[in-house]
Amino acid sequence: MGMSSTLELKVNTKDAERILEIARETGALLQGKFTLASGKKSNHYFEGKRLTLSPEGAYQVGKVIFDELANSHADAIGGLAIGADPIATAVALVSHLEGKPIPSFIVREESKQHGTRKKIEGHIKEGFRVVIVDDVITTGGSVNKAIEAVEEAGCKVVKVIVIVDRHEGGSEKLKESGYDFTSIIDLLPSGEVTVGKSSAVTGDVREGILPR
Amino acid sequence: MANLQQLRETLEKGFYLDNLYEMAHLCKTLASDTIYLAAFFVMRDIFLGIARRWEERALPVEEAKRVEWEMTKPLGDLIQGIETKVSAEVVLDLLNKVVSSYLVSFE
Repeated sequence: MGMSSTLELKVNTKDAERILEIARETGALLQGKFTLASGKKSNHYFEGKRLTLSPEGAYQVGKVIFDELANSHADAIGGLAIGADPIATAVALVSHLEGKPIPSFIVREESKQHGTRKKIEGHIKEGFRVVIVDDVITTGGSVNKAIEAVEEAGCKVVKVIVIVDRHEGGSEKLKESGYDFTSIIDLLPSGEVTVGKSSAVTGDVREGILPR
Repeated sequence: MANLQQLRETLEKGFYLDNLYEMAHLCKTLASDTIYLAAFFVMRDIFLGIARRWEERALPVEEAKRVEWEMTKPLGDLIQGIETKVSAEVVLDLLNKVVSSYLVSFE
């Protein structure tokens, strides 16, 4: 059962601004006119791994997301390989340093054709409250694959967090479906880049995933 | 040949990563379904070659457009030649033009 609501949250703007700076310093976020893999044109290019595989980028992303999860009672964090892997690892590491450990997991892009045939690797089990992360959301394909996999495994998605929201339909669909969604950086259709602003659940809020 | 028509239509959509992989996939199927094995094999290699150059990096619109402009016509001519069953000699000539455009675009 859900209830109709709109909730607005903010990630720590100062830390989010630092992430944006690092994204620019590392070349993870570029401005110009780019052709995306889908053929769409964009004023921005974002390659999350340049940010999340840099030492300070990994730490800042891990810290901002960990802080965001303070009262979520999440049992585990993860997402679709490979964009989500360094993010989930960074959060797990920060959570250990902060004395509130959140283990991580990896959702495989495709199930292994041999061996254990596990779709999800890592610390996850039925009934867990999990957080799904990704570096970027466009139409939502990767995030949805991860959500499907963990829900299939009997887990409850308590939050979805991405570093960059391109605002091309993916986050909007998630919010409409009742997922608690947060982005750190927003690339708006107008070309504007904002940080620490977008975090909302609209429509029917799913019971049990109400943010703090 | 349904796949050949599909390849032409996909080519018309333009040069971007997802489409390049789609064209490479179609060429692989066509290579095993038709007698033009070498032509489709080379085309597949070219599509994959471009895709790999463009993977995991910022692709300026201008660069994508330039390569598209260089490559679309010779590729279209080759597909049309195969469709109209021109001689092997003509197919080879059209294929040479495709390879030449690829080299001009990237070398």
